Amino acid sequence: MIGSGAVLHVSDNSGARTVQCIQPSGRAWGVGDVITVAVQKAIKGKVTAGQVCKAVITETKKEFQRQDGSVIKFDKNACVLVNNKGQPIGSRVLGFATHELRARQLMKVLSLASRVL
Amino acid sequence: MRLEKCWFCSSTCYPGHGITFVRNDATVFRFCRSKCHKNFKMKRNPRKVKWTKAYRKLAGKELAEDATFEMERRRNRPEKYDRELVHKTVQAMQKVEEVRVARQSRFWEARMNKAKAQQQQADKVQLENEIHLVKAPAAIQKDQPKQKLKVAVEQTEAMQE
Repeated sequence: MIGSGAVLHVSDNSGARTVQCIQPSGRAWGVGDVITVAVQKAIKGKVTAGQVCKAVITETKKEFQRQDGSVIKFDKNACVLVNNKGQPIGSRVLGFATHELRARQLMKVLSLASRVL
Repeated sequence: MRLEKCWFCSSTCYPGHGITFVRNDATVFRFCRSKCHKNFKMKRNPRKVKWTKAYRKLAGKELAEDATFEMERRRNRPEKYDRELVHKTVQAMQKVEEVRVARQSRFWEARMNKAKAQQQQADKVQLENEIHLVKAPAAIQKDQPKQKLKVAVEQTEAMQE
């Protein structure tokens, strides 16, 4: 569960390393949700530190229940940077992607991911 | 739906039960209940925890190696669908299950027979060592001279003759 102020790892090659969630809170955000983030730390790439962009949450430490009743959780909080249309900024997705993204029409992220759970 | 085995206790994870944890190195850990999940978080080794299948097999408490366990095994090569094969497999599953249960019960009986003999031996030793708890020491001493006297009387009688 990601709230405003949370710091997430970035699991793509957009150049950002960590980002901070600046989505106005109202509820906690989970896997598959698109949130607004501020890039905290970036290496040379398509984004720079201080930039504001959208990101889709791909992994959460907090366990979440899936459609089939199973419960799953990950080691870290991670996201993939996307543009306003939901297209990934980077050209690779290095971490995991879950089938929850399919329901949110984030097919491009899913197809780039090597590990789909 | 595939019924996976619990990483910690090796029991079956039924749909809607337990939790799945995906580590950063993409290892998937499935747990059948929070008990197993908690033990995993405590970094306990399933081989050293007495109630797990891993421990029981390692300690020789359950049948560990048997051909019947080979039936239920994860195979990486997908099998092409064949109606005849499915029919045969279902029949074989029932038969293998019967054989497995019979072998396991036989193993348990053999183990219990051994344990019974050991227990009886241990009881015997305990009775000899702790007889004073059953019978007062004075009463035991009272019994012993009588036997000696009897022997002595018999000896004197023999000598008189």
